[in-house]
Amino acid sequence: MSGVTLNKVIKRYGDVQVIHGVDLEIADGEFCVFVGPSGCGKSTLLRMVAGLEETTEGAMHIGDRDVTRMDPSQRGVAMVFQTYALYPHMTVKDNMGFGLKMNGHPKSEIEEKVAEATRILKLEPYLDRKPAALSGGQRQRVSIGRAIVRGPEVFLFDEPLSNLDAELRVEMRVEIARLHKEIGATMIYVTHDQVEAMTLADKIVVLRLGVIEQVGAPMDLYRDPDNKFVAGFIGSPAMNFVNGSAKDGAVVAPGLAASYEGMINAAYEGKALSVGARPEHITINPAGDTHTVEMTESLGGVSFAYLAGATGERIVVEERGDVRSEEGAKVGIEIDASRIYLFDAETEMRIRT
Amino acid sequence: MDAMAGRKPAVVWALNISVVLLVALWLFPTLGLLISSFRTGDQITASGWWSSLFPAEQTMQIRVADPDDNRVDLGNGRFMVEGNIFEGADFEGELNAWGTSSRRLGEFETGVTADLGDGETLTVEADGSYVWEGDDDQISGRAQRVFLDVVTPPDFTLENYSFVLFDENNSEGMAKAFFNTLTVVIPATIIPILIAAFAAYALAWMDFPGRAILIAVIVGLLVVPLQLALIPLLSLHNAIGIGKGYLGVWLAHTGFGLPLAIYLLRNYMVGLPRDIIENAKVDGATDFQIFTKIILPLSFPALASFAIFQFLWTWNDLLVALVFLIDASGQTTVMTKQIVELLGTRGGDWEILATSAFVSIAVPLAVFFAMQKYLVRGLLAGSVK
Repeated sequence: MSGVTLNKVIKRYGDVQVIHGVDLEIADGEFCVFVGPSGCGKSTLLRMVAGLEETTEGAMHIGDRDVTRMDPSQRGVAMVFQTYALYPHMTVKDNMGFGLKMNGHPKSEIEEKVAEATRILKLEPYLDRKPAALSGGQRQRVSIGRAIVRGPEVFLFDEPLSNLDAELRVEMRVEIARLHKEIGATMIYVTHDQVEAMTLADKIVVLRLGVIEQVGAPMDLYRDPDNKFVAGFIGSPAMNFVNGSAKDGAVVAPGLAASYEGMINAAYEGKALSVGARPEHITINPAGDTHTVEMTESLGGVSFAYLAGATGERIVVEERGDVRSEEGAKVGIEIDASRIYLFDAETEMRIRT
Repeated sequence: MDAMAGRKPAVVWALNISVVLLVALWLFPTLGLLISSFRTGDQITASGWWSSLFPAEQTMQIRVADPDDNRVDLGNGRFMVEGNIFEGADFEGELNAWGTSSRRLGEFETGVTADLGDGETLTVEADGSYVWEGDDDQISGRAQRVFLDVVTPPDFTLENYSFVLFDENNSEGMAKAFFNTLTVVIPATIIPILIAAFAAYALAWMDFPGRAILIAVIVGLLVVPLQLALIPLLSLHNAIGIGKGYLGVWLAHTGFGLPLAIYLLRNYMVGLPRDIIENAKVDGATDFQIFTKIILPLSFPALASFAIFQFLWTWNDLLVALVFLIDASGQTTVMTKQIVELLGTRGGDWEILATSAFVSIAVPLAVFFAMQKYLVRGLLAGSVK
């Protein structure tokens, strides 16, 4: 009903192209997260959906309406900004009712909708305060409330939690997830924090330099990345990459001090590869002596050991349990061959076998 | 802070001292003008305004009543003159001591009966009543001189104000000029703010071709001296039939004030958070609604500070008023012009000058004190978030 469809969307500032033909389909009621390093164009894309940035080329639909050239107010979207963007001279109540008032809704209806949003966000005690008298978390709730009140088809969040401290961020994350369940509207959420992306999203869109690298459910991206960028971007700590090559049908990875048979077809014979393995899939064998433990970070439940192999490439290994390795120790590593990800070193694309 | 720093650095002292000096530099002339405006011309020439704040000691020379007319026969060849020494003299104050010779001032306390020789006596009480007694020869001819040591309290009068403001026979009064000035100043403050606020919003937040050039032109206009435009503008006014009058002076002040007004307000508005305005756009507000509901309330400090500036310099303006307003009839004279004329015709009457000057600075003073917090905030506008 009110999904969002982008069709070859391009954005140029003068001669500089920042969004390079994005195709994307977001289903009705879906929670879609745009994620990527800073400068990847995720905020620009969101603002194009909002209508705050003009779409240079391509088409954009919300539901079955073509909104490509529409004004922001006609698109049926509501936006939550990183800076909250509350009107400082209005009370919480007036802030939330502003959008409806501008569109000429009757007073009683505004009251009703504000009351409803207030109830959902538990903002009742603050209705008559000005934004300056609210804490960061409360301000962001008001900002979300303002979006709810307008009853939009699509909610747009532009890094809404970046200005909050760590604890509040977790709280608000849960709140937003709950809100999505309760309202069920389509939401597009921009963040550079992959924890937010993984926990909130039905669908993650990984962007780099104005191009979509991969679209998929969080765990699909995690388990089955299409390329080296997505593999490295999703997951914390990031996936380990070492140089390798295909030799006689086997993958040789000196950095891991191992070779894997039957993983690759003959077409790649002799080519350079990038071999990836996630920290949690590597186990340390204290009996071995192929790697040196350079440093360990202990977080309690887990610790991360930073190993250096013979090639000098560094590998991060996650350790759990009672026995953790010590700095300076000589250890070996073991990886289940099925947990290895292979990438073409040149194109960085995944080599699936 | 004090606990941490222990001693205040010298620069803080230098700052405090210079603030005190600046305040004194401003305060004393203003206070002097205010006090002088409540004194008579004689008082101003006799002593400085600062001494008028305290009781003054002075010596008065008064003769008792004429004995030939007023003496009372007591019998036995004794005669007496009785009365109040301040009778007929406009005097308030306290009598401390008195004497009968200019060489021995304050010889006698009040209430003491002084022996003037050969049985002639004089008694002066504290309230000024006296008894002069003697024989026929003594109580006749010229009346006895008395030198009084008196302390007069501070003496102020509202007469200057009633003369300057309310005397209908005074052709040089300030009342008419005061209202003329108000008639010039209020529209000359409001009109440019109205225009400039709209222009500033457009230049800050609306995209249209040539915006950057328009801003550059306005910055350029800031440095055009207004004297340059006086004559061409006046001939324009005459040509299109406005001539000399209020409309002309309002237009002139508006024109001369606009570049700065637009520049100040635009700089302030452009500093307002972009997100707020974008959010209002998403909320469905039109540009006009964004302007009236969001930008104007948030720009209040800048509007107020420009209003104060514009008010003050149109109030104090003489040049523009002379060129565009004041005609031969003299019916539209403003206060600055009126004071210039007073300097010529009543140059010696300091009490009139002081009063007129104070009338003309009273309104700016009140405006300044009422709005000073916006003035400071508006001056800082843009530099501090």
